[in-house]
Amino acid sequence: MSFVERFRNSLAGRLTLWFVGPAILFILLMSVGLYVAVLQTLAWRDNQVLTKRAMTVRTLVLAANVDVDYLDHEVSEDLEGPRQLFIRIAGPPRIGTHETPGMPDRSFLSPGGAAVAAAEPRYGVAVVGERRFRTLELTVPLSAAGGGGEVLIQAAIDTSLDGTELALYEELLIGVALAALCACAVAGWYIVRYQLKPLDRLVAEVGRIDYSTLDHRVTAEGLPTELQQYANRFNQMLGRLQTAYQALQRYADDVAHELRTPLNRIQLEAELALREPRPAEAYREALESTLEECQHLSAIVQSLLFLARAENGQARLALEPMNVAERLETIRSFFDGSAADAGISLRLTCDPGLTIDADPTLFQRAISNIVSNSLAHTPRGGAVSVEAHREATDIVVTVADTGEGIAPEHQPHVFDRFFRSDRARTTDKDRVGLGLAITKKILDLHQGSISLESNVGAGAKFSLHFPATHIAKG
Amino acid sequence: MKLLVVEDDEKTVRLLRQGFGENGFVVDDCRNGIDGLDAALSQAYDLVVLDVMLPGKDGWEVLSQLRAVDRATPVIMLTARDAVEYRVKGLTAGADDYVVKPFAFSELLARIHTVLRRRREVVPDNLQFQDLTLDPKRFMVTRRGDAIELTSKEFLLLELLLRHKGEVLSRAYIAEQVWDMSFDGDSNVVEVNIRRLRAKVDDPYERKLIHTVRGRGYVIR
Repeated sequence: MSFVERFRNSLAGRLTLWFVGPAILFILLMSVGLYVAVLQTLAWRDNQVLTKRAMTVRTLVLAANVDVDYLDHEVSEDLEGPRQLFIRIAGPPRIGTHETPGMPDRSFLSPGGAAVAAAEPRYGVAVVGERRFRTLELTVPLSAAGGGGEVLIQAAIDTSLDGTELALYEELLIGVALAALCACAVAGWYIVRYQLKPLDRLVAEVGRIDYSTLDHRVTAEGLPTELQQYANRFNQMLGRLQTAYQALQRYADDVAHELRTPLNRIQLEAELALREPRPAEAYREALESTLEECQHLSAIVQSLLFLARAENGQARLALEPMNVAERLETIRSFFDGSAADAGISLRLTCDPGLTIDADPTLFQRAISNIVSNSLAHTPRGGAVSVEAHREATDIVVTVADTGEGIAPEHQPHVFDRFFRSDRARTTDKDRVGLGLAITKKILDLHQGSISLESNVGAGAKFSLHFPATHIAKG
Repeated sequence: MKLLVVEDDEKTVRLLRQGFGENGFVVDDCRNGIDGLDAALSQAYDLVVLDVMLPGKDGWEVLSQLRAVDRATPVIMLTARDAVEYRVKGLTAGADDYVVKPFAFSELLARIHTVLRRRREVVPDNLQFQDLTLDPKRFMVTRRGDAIELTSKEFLLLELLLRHKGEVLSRAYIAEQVWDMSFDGDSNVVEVNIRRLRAKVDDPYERKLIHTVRGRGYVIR
């Protein structure tokens, strides 16, 4: 990246550019304004002088007895000075023509000559050779009593030296503007750099945070307000990241543990079987046991895969209109036998006309996982009741048992992966602890929700809300 | 019966060859999608077992190119995807069935037999084994001439076992076929239902027909 590109891409560079750009514009505008004002002032002052003299002459020629000699004196009064004034008085023969020596050509001043007659003064500019003049022309009609006719009064002021003065002024303005420009740029750059220092500190601090220091927080004190907000938000994000990372680590640990146990059993089984020659029956025994462990492993992997896909948004629903009662009846028939064996009464209450748009396989899987869980936690003589009804736009399926209930401290974790209360762990060694997590995920996929009510010793009741209508997915 | 196995893992292929060989199939195998498609198009197979993750050309590609020419040869996919995704992709691509890896050999075998039977469209009127007879049309089961009363699910379960007589069916396969059920709890639910069926079909008689194969499932033999 070239220096220019780096400068343009840097915040300090951009801020400086944006700061200096308008400053330059203002300085330029101001300089031009000043220059124009000076020109205007000069012209205005010259016109004032010309007008005053012309009016004096006008008074003289309009007097009852025109003193012709005095007119001569009047036109030759201002022969000295850098801004010399010239006057011409041209009237009828009794007044005659009087003009200051060196007065520019009459026709040049007024191309139409006396034909251009106006009582009002006309201002103008004339250039004769190297010399520049500001001019005024005035026609004064004489009264009939005084002999009639009219007098042309012309006045010109030599402004040739203004050019030199203005050039000096121009140079001064340009010099000041350039100096201001440089000062602005340099000051702007340093101010911006200085003000952005906390940002550098922040960047350095953030850069020091990695997976092993996720508990570190960025210091917000001493930062400008805007950056403080940023630092606070960043710290909040770090908090979430830390939680997620810890969950991920715990999850990886759990997965490793869950897989390690059956893997270890397989390894031991195979190793022991091969240690010494055994009867065929012993080998068969070992292989069968190994196969059981493999099936267990395979079930864990399938369940984890389902959860992972659902979380990545890869799992898609095959929604179809589905009779809820029929599906629940299938589930009841599936679990009927084992419920009866366990001495638990499995009841189903459902309006036969209840229908919903859902993925039938996943719907069944969700409910089965809950029913299976409830059956496992209900003692002999207890009951598991499955019930479904419409609630506003939702279909609500509740599964209630008369089991030992779930302790309040365990309730928030019931839907976590691999969560098992100690009791469940000891009662059923084959239980993986993914069923409820999968059910929750299935409800999420259906944009529904699941809730749990339970008191220790008074059973547990799961409520599954399936919305009747879905936002179309994929 | 001649099978084509398209699968890139050496050991899996060896084990499948052994398993299919012991069950009376003749097996050809290919290790990548390109060879697999060539073989499937150039020779007549009764069924193709096609892995999804293949070098060269993946299983879905092979399937769609095969189906563009040949609509008849049954194809069973070996997939790492589960049912949800499969339904969206597999059925439209024209596969006949699928088995999710890791799979049990007995399940693959059961599915192959089902697909082959479906293709032949031979549905025997009566399913019979030894002295046990099941009449699907009249919903009747008799053993040694005695009528046996079964619930509808018990009937479906017995019918499934009889259709696959001699084949070991896994609990998951039985749950899926009889109850259209896939769930994540323990699978002793199937065991309980088998026990109830046995109480009616086997217990009163000396010769037991329904057997538990530890680690694999259940079989009528």
